[in-house]
Amino acid sequence: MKSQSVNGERYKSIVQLAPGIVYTLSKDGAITFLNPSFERITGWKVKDWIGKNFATLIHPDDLELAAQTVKQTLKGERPETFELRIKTKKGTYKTLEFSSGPDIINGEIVGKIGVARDITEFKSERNTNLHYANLIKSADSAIMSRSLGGTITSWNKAAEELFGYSAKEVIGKNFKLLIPVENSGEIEKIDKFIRRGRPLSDYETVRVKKDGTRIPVLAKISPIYDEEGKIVGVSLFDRDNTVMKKEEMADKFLTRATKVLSSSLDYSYTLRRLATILVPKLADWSSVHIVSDEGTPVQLAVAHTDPKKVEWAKKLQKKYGEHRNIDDPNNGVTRVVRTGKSVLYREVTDEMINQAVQKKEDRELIKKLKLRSVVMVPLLSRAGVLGVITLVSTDPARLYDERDLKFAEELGRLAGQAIENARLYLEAQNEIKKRAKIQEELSDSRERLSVILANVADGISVYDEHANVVFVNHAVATASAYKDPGSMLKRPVKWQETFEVMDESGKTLSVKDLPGRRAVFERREIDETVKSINKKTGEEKWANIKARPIIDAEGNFRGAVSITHDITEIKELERKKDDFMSVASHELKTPVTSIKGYVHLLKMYHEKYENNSSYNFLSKIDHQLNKLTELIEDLLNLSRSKSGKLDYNMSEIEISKLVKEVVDDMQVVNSTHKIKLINGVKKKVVADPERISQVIINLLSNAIKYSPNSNKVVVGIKDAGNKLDIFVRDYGIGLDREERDKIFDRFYRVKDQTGRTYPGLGIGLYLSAQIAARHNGKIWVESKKGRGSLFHFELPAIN
Amino acid sequence: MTKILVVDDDPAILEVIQLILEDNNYDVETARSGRIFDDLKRMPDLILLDILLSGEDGREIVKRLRRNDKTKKVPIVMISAHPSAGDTFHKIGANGFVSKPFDIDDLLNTVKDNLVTN
Repeated sequence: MKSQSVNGERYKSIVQLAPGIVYTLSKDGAITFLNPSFERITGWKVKDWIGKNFATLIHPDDLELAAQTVKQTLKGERPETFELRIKTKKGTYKTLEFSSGPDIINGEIVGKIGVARDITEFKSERNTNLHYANLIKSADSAIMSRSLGGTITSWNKAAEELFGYSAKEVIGKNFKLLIPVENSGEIEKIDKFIRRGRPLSDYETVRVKKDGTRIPVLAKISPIYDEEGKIVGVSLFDRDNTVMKKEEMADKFLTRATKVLSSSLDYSYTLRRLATILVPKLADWSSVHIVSDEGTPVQLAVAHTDPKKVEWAKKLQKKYGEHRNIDDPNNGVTRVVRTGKSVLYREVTDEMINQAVQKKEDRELIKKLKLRSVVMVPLLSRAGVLGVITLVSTDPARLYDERDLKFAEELGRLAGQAIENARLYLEAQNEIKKRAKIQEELSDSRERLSVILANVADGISVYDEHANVVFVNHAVATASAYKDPGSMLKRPVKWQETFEVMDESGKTLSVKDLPGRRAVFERREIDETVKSINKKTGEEKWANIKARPIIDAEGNFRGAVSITHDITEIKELERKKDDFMSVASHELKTPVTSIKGYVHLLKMYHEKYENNSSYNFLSKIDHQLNKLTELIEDLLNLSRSKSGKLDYNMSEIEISKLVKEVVDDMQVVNSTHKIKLINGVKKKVVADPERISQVIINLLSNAIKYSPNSNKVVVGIKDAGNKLDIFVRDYGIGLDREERDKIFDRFYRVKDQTGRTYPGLGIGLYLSAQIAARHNGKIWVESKKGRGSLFHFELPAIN
Repeated sequence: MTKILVVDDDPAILEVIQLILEDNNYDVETARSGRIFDDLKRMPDLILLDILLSGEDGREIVKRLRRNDKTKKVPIVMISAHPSAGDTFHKIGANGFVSKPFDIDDLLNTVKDNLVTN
């Protein structure tokens, strides 16, 4: 049978046609035969490999297995099929399944004989399946399948871990046991989609675990098809969504919190809102503290899922959240404020409570509040810790972890930022308000100022740097016969048609002579008394005008302001007074005249009867009467000079002659002093000889009066070019600086060392100065206290 | 005898002047106001006239006297406590001026001067 069924040729044919590789190896592994399939499978030429070691074709990782099979074969055993990876000509490997056995010729093992089939494709397919199976088995996600309708058909390890049921427990049961009561229609709802061939990805739902608790999942739900493409089941791919859900919630919450935080600038309101939105999603009880100005935390808000417990919580916070020893590690809020670091009590145990809280009733309170887990985070801003947010969980299933802490910290940072922003905004607003207020006050005060200026009784005119009138108030306008300041500004010089303005001496002033304009042109202070006469009515008015240059803050000249003060009434009073003085002195003179007359008569009679002693007394009475007359004369002159009634009779006079006459007259009545005259100037002046004499007499009598311890006075005339200087030198008491400044004032009288004044009314020098001024001359003095005085009376000379 | 009319509203001054002038051999008539001129029988050789009379202005009297043919050539010497009157007496038509209070010599000299001139 054997020889019949298989002969050499037929074997050969079979070997040649075999789809797999047929090969023989020598004992040392050299290839002794290969069939043509070798070329088809590997791409190598058979002839290239005859005589080569078979091992060189094998994947290095498989060499050990190959060597083992060779060993077995050579022992005469027939190993089970094995897989080796063979290198192809392309450089890739193909997986081949080998069957081999000893090559026995004549009862002797000469090598190895074997066949190998290419299982590369099959292999990869199987690998994929295996991979999937492993994947499913080891996946983090729960992978389950069920029939349409709900019967569970598969259940992986992760599903077991996630839901607590083992595969054994649930396979065959309805998926409904994982669906919460409130979602009872979920299976039917999902099947509707699945039947239509529509998968559901990222389907958010909740499953009930074996222990009854719930777990949020994110599911991928797809239909399962059979070979014919019919939907036969549902595959479910659930991922634990707790963390994601939390994070998402946190994200959502932070978004909301940000909205709340930025919704109001009243940050205490904002933080109170924050406390309420934290409950119940993130905490069963939350509180917000802010750091007061004194640096102590003050509770701003408490929110509790159970409103009744808010009061308890407040009480507790008050007791244990604030004002406690800073070193106490349990003093949460203060510690957070102090350190700026968050605190996490993952699980608050009774032991912790007992340790932290001494009083039994307080412990009871805490236990009533069911403190389970606590997070405290600072409200941080650039300025530091602004406050503290406390989150408390009373749910044993909600124990805060690092993730919650991070979230709360983020919240604290956001809230801090919001407060900071609000504060900056409020500060900015306040600043704006303050500025607006200042602005308002400024414009207020500006308005007030302009109202004041407009209505002030004194006239105010403002000139620019070109002496144009830029402002006048009502007083100026009405005094200048304008309707209002506006019409005056339009025609600023129209008033000239109505008024004639003159200075005190009666000289008419033109527009440019007015003090305000002079202050602009001369850039100095101008004070002047002016008289204005209304040409139509003849009304006379007097005014004191004070004009001042305006210099701005940078020192630039900006014009001038002039203030006109109506002194008409004062002038009127002065005139009345002068009139009175005039009348009074006149009235005084009348009795003096008659006394003098009687005295003269008496003197005449006594001369006749040669009663010398009586005559002497009468002479003295007469002398005193002369003095009295002089005083009265002075008074009268004063009032007349003031009222401008003093008349001057100007003529060309030779001053040296006049001075000599005066000196001679004075010498006659003054025996105490020798009046020395230095003369020789022949120049003439235009003057009233009477008045000039009056001045010289005054200077000489002063020189004598104020040098009681001297016996000499010097008078002289000096040629000073276009001027003549009449000087009077005495060696008397002299004047200090203050006196020098005042002696030309009306009624000023020099005192001696003991404070006594000298006889006189104190008007001589005043009148002299007036007279000098009327002659376009001047009077001044050089003097030192105790060293005598040198008076100068200067008059313009005719050359 | 040279007749002098003295017009002043002050009786004491009138008396003093009268005494002084009579002592110097003048025939003196006194008056308290300017109205006297209308009743005068004999014109004086000189008139001493106070400028400020109560109710009257001596200057007006001078003007009146100068308009009257009988009196227009009679020398008039003004007497006044107003020193300025000394500057203006010429303008109003007076011939001389004596200021109050006066020296007797001044008064007599002025009177004498004005009588001589005429």
